[in-house]
Amino acid sequence: MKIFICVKRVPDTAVQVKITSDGKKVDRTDAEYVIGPYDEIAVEHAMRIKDKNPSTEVVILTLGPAEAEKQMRSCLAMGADRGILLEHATDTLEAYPIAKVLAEQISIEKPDLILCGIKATDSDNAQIGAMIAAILNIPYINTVVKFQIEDAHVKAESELEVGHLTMEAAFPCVLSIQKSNVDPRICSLLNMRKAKTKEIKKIPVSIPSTQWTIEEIALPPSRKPGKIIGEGAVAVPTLFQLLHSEAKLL
Amino acid sequence: MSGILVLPELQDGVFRKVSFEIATQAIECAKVLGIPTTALVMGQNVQAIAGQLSGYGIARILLVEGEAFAKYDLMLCAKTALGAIQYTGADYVFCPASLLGKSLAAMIAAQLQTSALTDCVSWQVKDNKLVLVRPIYAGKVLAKIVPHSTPVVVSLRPNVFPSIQNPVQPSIEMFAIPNEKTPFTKLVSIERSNSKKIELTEAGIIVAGGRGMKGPEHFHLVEELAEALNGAVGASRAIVDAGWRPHEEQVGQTGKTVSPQLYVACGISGAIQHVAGMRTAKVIVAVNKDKDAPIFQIADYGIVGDTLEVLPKMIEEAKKLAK
Repeated sequence: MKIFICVKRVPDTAVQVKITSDGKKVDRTDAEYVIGPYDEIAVEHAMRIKDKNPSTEVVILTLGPAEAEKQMRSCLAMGADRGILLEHATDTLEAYPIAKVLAEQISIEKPDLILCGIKATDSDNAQIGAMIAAILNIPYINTVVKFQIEDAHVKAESELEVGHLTMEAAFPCVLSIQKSNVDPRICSLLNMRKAKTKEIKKIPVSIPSTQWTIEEIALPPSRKPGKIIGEGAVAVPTLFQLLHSEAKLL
Repeated sequence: MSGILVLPELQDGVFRKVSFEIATQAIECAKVLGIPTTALVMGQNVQAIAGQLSGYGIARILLVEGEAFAKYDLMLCAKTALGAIQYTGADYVFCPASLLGKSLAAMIAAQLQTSALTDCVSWQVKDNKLVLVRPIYAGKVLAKIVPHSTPVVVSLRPNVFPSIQNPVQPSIEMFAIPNEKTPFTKLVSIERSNSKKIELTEAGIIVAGGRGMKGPEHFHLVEELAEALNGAVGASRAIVDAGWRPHEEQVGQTGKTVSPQLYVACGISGAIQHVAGMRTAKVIVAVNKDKDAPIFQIADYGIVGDTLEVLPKMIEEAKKLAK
């Protein structure tokens, strides 16, 4: 069985975002990069399948600049077999051209299962997995929190706002992975060393022209400064009074 | 031909609240652009409720009835929507930015060889073109985007836009199902959350807890306060990662983004990634024992104190209000 995981290199979520002086882009010059948090969970899901069935081949597929190799090596240290880096110094917010390039690579290698994080924490598109499925005309299951392989299909639990669905889809199919109680494994030094010699195939790609104009990237309107109204339980009646008379709530 | 196609979301045969929000926005947008609005309703036994959309100004409703549509087969829904876009000649497609809606928008956009604009929080019409604002980096920044080719597929964030009643005479038209031999996915079972529980992204009031609750055994205080205020329960990443609470309650960059009228942060320090998910709340209340906690910089009303002492008093006051 062959599993492809689409992994994106994204800026660390713990850091504030800066904007370029022309107000049209996010300034990423000082950004610290990490593996997309949801993508990393997807890698962990794949590794748990490989733990049980070592003949499973796990391939990391990334579209990004040459530097993304670092995050891909971390995925290989988790136990993935090899990587494909579709090299492009892209910073686009548009999901379709990216999904198309990824789907083309996937259609060459024909994996059984394609995993994506539900979204990248920079562009927040939440579209790549769904788009790959639509482009390849194959089944797609949304916001998956756990799944298992049964013969030639996958049985997955999908988390919605108001409950969980259990869904089945035949291979090949795409799952978008939601955060759950599955935590990415910590890599041993030995595995990190092994990852250095694993194959990462680099393929330069071009991205089709853009369909959007980014008119402005701006900080959200700032909130008025916070106010401390008191200390301890004795401040509670004042709070409720303010919520009622000043904030016009409750 | 031209127009806006609205894709409302159903759950167990009932429209979700966000459906009326996107219907209202489509009607207002269509008025400015001078184009018609059509809704596509996909589901099972939905003929009786489809007309509810006309209460929000949508006169033309296309109806697709079929068991498969109640079974979360997104590919089938996306193909049907594509059929409706071609049939109505729609230039704009409005979806809810729910977990399902975001995926559906992406699949529709991919079929149209374009990208969807996810989770839009405002729009305007400029030079007869739709200009949309969407948060990126979990709302740390906002991107103002002008798509310059049609059709344009957008998903609108729940709980941000009002739904405005505007009754019109409905005209309901049955719409054909695309000729797909087998369904793409099979629904095995549905497990609904407690029906009394209010869903985070639709909630008007949210009470959320963090590390300052000191342990999962005290979290009932957060739940009791939420219940007394008729609100939903949220959690910080720290306590979700610690296994105190399920991920579906997490607010922040790797959880849900919420926009309630009132957000009560109990023992939450206010890390950047948490604030990104709740900073658009109308009013923020914070209770934290550390007076220097970053949450107090954005809290409209802060109380410095031990959550375990302050919360019982808040529950008492909230219960008084309920009476």
